[in-house]
Amino acid sequence: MSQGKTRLVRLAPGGKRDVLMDRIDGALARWPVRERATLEGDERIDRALSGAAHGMGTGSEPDLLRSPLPASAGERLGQIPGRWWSALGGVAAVAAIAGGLFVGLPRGTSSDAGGLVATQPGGARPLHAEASPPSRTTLDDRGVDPADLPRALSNDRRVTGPAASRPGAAQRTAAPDPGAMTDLPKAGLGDPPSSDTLQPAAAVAAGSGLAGGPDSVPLRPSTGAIQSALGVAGRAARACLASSDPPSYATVTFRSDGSVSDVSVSGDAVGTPAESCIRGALSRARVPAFAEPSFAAPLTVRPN
Amino acid sequence: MTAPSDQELVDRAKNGDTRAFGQIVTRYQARIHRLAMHLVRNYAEAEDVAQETFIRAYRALPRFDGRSEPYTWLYRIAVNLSLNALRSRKARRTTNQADDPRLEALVIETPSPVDVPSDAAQRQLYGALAQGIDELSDTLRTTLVLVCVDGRSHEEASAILGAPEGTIAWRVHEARRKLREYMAKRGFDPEET
Repeated sequence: MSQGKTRLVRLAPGGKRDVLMDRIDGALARWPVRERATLEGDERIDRALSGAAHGMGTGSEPDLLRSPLPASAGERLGQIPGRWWSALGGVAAVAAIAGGLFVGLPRGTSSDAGGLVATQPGGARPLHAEASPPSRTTLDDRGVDPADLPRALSNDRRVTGPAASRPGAAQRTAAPDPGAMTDLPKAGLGDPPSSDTLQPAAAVAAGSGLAGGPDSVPLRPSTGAIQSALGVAGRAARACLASSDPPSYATVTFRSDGSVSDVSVSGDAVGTPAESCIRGALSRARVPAFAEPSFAAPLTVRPN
Repeated sequence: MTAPSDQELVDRAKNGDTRAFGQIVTRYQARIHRLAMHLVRNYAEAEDVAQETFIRAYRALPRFDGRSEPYTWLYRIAVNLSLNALRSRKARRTTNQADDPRLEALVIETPSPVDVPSDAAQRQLYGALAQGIDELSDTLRTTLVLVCVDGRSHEEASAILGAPEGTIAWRVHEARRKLREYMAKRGFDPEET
């Protein structure tokens, strides 16, 4: 059996050696083991053979020969070359911004989960945080030969918008993640990569021109923030329509402080009590403050 | 005289040569035990897993068709048994460094006066690493242990776990990234001190 070691290239940002990663890798590779004092040699062999002969270890051998940890759906997704994801992610981002919100926040969509409306190519699965495979690329995680690695689907992908595809967008989202390991839900076997690196949608402002400083505001609200805000308000707005009513359309304009400055309604609800009800419901939406003077988000209001 | 290959030993064992299977046990018992210890994090359970691995392998010999390497087959059984043990344990075991078998080799050593600082640092390092590894999901932890601790190549880990090499590479990458993050938070990053 070969003892091949993974070829690891440890470079910190700027091409410096990552001393900590070196230390970790070295420690892992040389993990000290106590010499075992019991059941050595023939004793172990005898026990194994006698155990086998006497039917120890009942159960199904085929079960034990199955693949223990095959790639999960999310991991398979992660193996798609990054350039394709970049291209498709950009298309999805633009599509989500341009038309995604017009599609509305229909019942049962990701709005309830605080996710995004963008879907994977092929439309098989929404790009929820939980389903995202390889998470964002951080500045310090260049420890594996890039040729071996599937390009990470960064969180930028779920926070759509032109800025998500701008150079440097990934780096902006790669800020230290304070919650990273200790707060993480443990992924089950075969689960997609754990979501521990994911942040609440409203907190991720990759598509919004995050300037980098802790006190800076994004250029415009992130899609996640908008969706989160309109997800809540949109549910209230939907309640304004009777189940037999056709969909109406609203455009919610936010001020730079994140509050709603205007709600325009079009469609069959105009001129009916539902119009003011929808206006009232959507005017309570709120997004985090942003730099631009205003930002308008369209929304389709469908009856519950 | 060269040692018989794993495949030769398996072939002989399939024909009833129990000594040949004994040689397989001798060849792999330490590695299997070490792997199980890192996965189940309990010495006695690791013993049971190692024991059971060879029992199951012996019983499954007739079905071993030789399409994969024998060690892949042993490792796969060991990983499945370890994961089964973890699942049946229900509540997640809280790590107590005092009885963590992964740290035994460090704890039982009697440091010489000269080595005291480095030994203490080693214990600290491995204690933190063990805790960081415990924070990983079973999937990431198993892959990390196979590749970074046990030294399996991505190709070998791929054959053992039944996942493509690209997935293995990603898991290792992600596990190391998280581990690094954890260690940095614990103050092990010289860049931040």
